[in-house]
Amino acid sequence: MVANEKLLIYPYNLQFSPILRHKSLQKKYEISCLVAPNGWGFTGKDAGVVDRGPDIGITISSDFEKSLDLCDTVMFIDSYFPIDFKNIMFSKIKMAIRSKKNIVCLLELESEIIKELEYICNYEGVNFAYHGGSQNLLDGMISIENESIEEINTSVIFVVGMGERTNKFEIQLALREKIQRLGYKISQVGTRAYCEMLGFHSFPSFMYDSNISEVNKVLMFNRFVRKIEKVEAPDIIIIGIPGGIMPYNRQFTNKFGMFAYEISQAVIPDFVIFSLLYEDYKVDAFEIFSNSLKYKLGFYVDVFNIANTQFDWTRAFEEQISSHISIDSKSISEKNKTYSQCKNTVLNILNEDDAEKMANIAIEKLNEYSNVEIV
Amino acid sequence: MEDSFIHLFTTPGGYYLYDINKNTILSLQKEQFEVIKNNLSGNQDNSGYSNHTIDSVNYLRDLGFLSSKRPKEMYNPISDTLIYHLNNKVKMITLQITRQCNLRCKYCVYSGNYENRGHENVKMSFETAKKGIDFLIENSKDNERIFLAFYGGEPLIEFDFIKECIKYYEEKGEGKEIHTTLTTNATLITEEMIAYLCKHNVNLLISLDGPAEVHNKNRVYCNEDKGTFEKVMDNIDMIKEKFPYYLDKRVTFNAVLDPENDFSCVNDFFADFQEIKQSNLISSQIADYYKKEDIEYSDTYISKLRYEYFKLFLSKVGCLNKKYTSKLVWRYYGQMIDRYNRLELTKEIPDRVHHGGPCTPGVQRLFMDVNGNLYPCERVSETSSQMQIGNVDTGFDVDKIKTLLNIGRISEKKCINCWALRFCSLCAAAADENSNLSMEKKVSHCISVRNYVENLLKDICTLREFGDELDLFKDIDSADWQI
Repeated sequence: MVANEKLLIYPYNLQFSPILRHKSLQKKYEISCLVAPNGWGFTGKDAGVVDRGPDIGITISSDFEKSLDLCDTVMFIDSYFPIDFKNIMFSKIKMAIRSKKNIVCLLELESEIIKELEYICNYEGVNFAYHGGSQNLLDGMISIENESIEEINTSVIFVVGMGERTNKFEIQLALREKIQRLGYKISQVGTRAYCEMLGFHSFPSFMYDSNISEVNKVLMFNRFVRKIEKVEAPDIIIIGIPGGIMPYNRQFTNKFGMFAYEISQAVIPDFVIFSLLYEDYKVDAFEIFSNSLKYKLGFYVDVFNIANTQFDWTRAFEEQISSHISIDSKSISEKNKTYSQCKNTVLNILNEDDAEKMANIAIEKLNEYSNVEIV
Repeated sequence: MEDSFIHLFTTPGGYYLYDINKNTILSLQKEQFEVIKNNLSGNQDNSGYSNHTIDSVNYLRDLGFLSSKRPKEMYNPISDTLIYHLNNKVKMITLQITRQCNLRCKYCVYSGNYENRGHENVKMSFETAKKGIDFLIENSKDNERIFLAFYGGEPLIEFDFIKECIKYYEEKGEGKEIHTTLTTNATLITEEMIAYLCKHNVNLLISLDGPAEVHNKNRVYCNEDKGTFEKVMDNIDMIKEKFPYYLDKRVTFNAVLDPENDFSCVNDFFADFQEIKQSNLISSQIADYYKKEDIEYSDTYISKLRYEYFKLFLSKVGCLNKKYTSKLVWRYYGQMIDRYNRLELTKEIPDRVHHGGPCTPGVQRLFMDVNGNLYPCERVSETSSQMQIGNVDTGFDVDKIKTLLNIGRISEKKCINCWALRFCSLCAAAADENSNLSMEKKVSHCISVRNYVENLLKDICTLREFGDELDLFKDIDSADWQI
């Protein structure tokens, strides 16, 4: 592959907008086309519509076939909406291959499908890169010799969400971009399965392995971070914690916040960003959340973020499914002004000034600990 | 405690308190119930009761129960984010593709007996239908599935038009889980139509009120006073013979229950109707909003209906095989489960709250008439200026929608003191006088709502007494949830 390969993203959606907003984190591709199915309602709109953040400057198309002419490589990505793999996705992948486009696949696929795609790509003479399932765990296996936690001496930032859809990935990428720009060396563990593409570690697959005990997962995550620290010698380690921290009620459990609990036992953070879904919170709510995390997970919240997403309780009661309402990010910034007197810092990551502020507060706090080395 | 915001009620098996602040039903001992009732009526003398009982009532108060807190205002919290619901969460659109109908059903809301438009020979243009479908796609960005419904008049009069619309919908809806429904009187159905509807997974809602003498009483052709029962049955036979799977899986029958008919007769008809045994069956009452004359319910009709509820309850506590129960009342159990599971303990009722009832107009059941005007649903009057919430060309009228969403404001003083406010079912249609929204009209429904809620709470408690868990997560019939 050559540098600045022209890239088409399909189906463009909220999962990808953080990468688009932080283009500098990947230099391999020039993102030239965004295509989403027409039924998603994005056709002809700016790419920023998917996360209701500021405009990005690329228009979304629904014409996949025509857009193929404008790219060298097609990246197939995951989406929050289920999409018919056989009738829509697979046929589009094959269409792209027949059009002699390289394929980058961020979807989790069955091994048979991967083999078939590799075969077809090979036959057509195009590249096939798959980032859907596993990730690089650094060289060598993680070994557990005793049931004790090894100390991490590098400053650690946690990005934690109340639940899904809390702009966690946007926060992780914004921090990475802004803190790197300040000259710090960052190691990072992200909440997605394809973070290697962006130069950092995906959430390790052993954390999803039902054959490993929860105790061992805690120990393995501890050793995993310790290994990153040893091998990469970073100034700061950013860890994005997948999922939520606790059930909303007995139906919507957020997997009981198991990952958050396990990671909080494995690593002690120096700085914590906690992102909430939008609600009309009273000022004292942040203190309540802060205490809840303190006693549940053992750490203090340094900065709150309010995501521009609200849980749709009407639909939850009517259809017993988890669904969300997207809110314009400008409204969040307006709402956050009402928290200006609050003793907790409440930010909106989709506001550029707030993103900057979040990174600065983190650095300031970590500097106070005097254990950050500038490269 | 005199001013506690609670409601006391009994069942044959128990004494109960519904605490509005806590949103919880408490089962009480008889003496506890009497102390609270006594105090509620203004008598604070508890000398006739045991210390244990008085202590236990005081303990309830210590736990935050029996509070006198009332909300300060009726305000729907969705108002704050309404624009985002309207822009992103529209679930369905119902297209009134024609106002023409080949029947003149006597209870029809377009029959002249209602404050609504009449039948007329007007149909929707394809351009308008396309705009409606585009509007649905544009305003449902946060939904993974969308619903398109065809309504009339009788939509099958315009079957070619329906096919055009479905083709457009399937093409433009790519990437979403799309659903389609058609409501029909079933007199114009042909084999070719069903083959098409089957191929495109269109759900069919057929109006069928019961046996010939019941159905034909109201559902008659427009140009002759002849009932439609025989024609409908012939068409059902055809579907059963040629498309049995479609009949079982995609056809729902809707029986409009006319209280002037013998409920048992209707019930027996559906119980014995083998052809539709596997199909869904739902029932609805004759619409009462906008009706020029009141609907009378005889004691006999009500007692027969309640007897079917009773049998349904027996089946739920394992005392009667479900096959002996009436499908016409199954939906009530779904409502009970829904209500029961919304009884989640709260700290207290917020200062700003809205009573139950209003949907988010435009989001749940958006209805578009032949001219592209938008309404909250197909059940409101098309002649009401209050109910027209926009146009497909100009979009939603957000201010009007906010008014409908906050209809509790017009009766705020009554609502903030009403024990049934969390369970209320009154939406703006209950207050609609076509030219204005009337507080008097709205509150005229309050007694019947409170009676309904009290019966619902009693039914819930009775079922709980007999061991039914009313569990949302256990297997229940999909028909229990049919909307």
